[in-house]
Amino acid sequence: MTEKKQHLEEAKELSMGYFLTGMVILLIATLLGFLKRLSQTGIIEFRATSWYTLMTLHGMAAFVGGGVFLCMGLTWYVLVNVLDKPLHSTKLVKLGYYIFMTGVALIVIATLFGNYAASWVFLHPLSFEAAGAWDNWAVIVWVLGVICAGVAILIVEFEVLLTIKSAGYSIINAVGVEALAPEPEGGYKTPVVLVPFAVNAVGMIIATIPFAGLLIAFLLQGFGLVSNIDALLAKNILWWFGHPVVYALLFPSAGFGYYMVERLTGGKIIGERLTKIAWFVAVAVQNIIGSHHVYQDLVNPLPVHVSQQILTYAITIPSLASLYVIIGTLYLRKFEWDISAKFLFLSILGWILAGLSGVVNATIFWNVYIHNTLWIVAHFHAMAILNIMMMLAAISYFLIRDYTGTELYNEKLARIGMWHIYIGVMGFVHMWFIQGIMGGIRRSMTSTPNLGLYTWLSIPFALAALIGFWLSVFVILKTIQNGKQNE
Amino acid sequence: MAFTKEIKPVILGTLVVGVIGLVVNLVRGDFGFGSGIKADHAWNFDLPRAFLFIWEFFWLAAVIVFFFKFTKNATSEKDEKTFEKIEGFEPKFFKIMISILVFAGILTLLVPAFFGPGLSQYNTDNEGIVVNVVASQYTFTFNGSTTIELQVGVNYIFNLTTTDTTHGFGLYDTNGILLIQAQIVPGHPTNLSYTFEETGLYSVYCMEYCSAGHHAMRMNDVITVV
Ligand code: HEM
Ligand SMILES: [Cu+2]
Ligand SMILES: [Cu+2]
Repeated sequence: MTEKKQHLEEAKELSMGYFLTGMVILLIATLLGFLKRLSQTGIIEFRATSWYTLMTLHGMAAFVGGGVFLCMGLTWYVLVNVLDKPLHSTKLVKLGYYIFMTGVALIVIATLFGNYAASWVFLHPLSFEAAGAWDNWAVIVWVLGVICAGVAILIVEFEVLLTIKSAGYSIINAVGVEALAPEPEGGYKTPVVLVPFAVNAVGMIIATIPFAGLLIAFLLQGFGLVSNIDALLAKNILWWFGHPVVYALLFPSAGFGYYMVERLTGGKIIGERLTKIAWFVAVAVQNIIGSHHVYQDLVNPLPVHVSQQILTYAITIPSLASLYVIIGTLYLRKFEWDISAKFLFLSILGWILAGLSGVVNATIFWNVYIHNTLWIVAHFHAMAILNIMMMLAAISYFLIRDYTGTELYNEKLARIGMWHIYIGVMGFVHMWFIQGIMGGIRRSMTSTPNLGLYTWLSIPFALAALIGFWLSVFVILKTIQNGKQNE
Repeated sequence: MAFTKEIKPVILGTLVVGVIGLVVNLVRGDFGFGSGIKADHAWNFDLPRAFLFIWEFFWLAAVIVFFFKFTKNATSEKDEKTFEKIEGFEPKFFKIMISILVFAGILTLLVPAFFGPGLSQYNTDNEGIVVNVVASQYTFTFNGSTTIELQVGVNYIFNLTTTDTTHGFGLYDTNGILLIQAQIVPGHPTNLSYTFEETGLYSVYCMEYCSAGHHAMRMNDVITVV
């Protein structure tokens, strides 16, 4: 094997490991989501503590366990392909994996066995004011699990930066700084695909530090050593981290988008300077917009509220720029509508829709009507599935074909799965939008009065989405099996 | 050993623990088949609600139209002029984008009174009659009792406090329209001012998840406005 092949094989193997694990976690998580929704209709019934337990596990597992993990994993494949250099340290990548999985195990124990159900944001002091729903040990196990996830995120994000650096690029340029000057003869040095990964890595490393402090305070309170953590401060810190952690999904997805567009069309994307400047805006503000989640905490200072709206509007710039360059490049160049291109295109449409609903959340005079309603749930499922999961599916179909060296087991089946997911999710997300507009409260085991109809209507759509997930998984596993037989 | 082989036990282990935990919860959770809640339904629209509805479904329609337009034209060869048009748009795109954001940002900050409280909800030093609202798992009290009678056209200051964890104060009218809300954070009493414009019955629902009884923290028709 040549040197080049060696490091590509290595990266694909690691990506595949992360990918398969993330897929299993997501399969369980989506099943939990479906059960919760079904129980809101009253067709099946849970005791309240179980419903909220499933909610907490679903949120953490789908979002951090599945989403963040898949994004991290697929990043190895794309980075090594773009850089054509080995990873900085495969040991760190593996270490990140095992620490992350330890976190997953602890979180599963805390929730399913310890009944811990303070939701994935576990607003202080709910953990310690459970009204008998869970015990102190479950809090400690949960916090330890989240600490593992945090440590794993740190390791992996450092590995991303070190890999970019050891391939000979400057991190400063990789977060878009070089584009502040006009494009030099022969173009910019850093490939544009690297930029979202670098921006996300820098952002997550910064965001994890205050969050770590908060988690340690939680542990201390769990062991009875402190008892006076300020609830408002804790909430602001939680969201300082809680907002950028969403970008641990969105930013890599944008990077996957650029990578696939260049690979599908065989050329560079248009608008490189614009894109890089936009990402520079992102690196500047991604860590200071978390308080847009607390517009209804009237006790936060007024300048914070006002600045949050302005800064959050600014963070739409990288999204707008990405949409323009991806759609523009696809439109201008010739490419083949293979399964990845289809997923990519649907993901772009989902991005537009989810982003526009987010503008509503960010705007103070609208936020009062939709904060903590099902509108928010609609918005982030649109983002997470219609945009991000579609993008991850697109890039993973590239990975799987590269990894196995075969075509997909059955492209038609993959396409059927794709439409089931897309239409199914589009359907149930819009039921949530309607319920949210009409004041339906989120994180509630029962529907808000007068809104039960929409809960019922979302069930067939949710079922379609599940069928779509299972079909896709079937195609993926079959393809891997075929690939093995060919060897 | 290949990484995917090495982690096989980890994946299987996760799967097994997850499934066992799920089954444990189903059994322990008095899981069963329910009678089914009735699919109750009402259209509760006012101006802001209509706005949000149109906003969401307009864009949905726009995206569907775009889907068909794009898939029809995407794979054909484009001429030089189209290239110039789309690529040459780059510097303009930046300027247009920023202008729209600045314009929309200023507009939505400055003219909210058009149909909502907007920034005025942050005025904590309004004049008005104070109503003490205490939230605790899983009820609200108003000046110490579970119901209260208030008057139309009077500015009230709801002084919101909690005895345990974070809750949310959501004021709903008879039709189920959410009029105003605020978070109630322990240790941070919050003043929320509101003037009722119509007589009738109003409900207060908890707007922040507060453990296993959160869905029951809905106090129907507890405020009578005369
Ligand atoms: C078929 C797929 C899915 C279904 C049916 C589903 C269903 C649900 C339901 C019913 C809730 C509770 C909403 C409420 O009443 O507050 C929820 C919450 C949530 N979901 Fe999903 N979901 C799905 C997929 C996903 C995915 C793929 C992600 C992320 C990548 C995700 C992330 C979340 C998060 C973060 C929450 C919030 C949990 C909380 O409030 O603490 N879901 N989902
Ligand atoms: Cu946010
Ligand atoms: Cu509550």
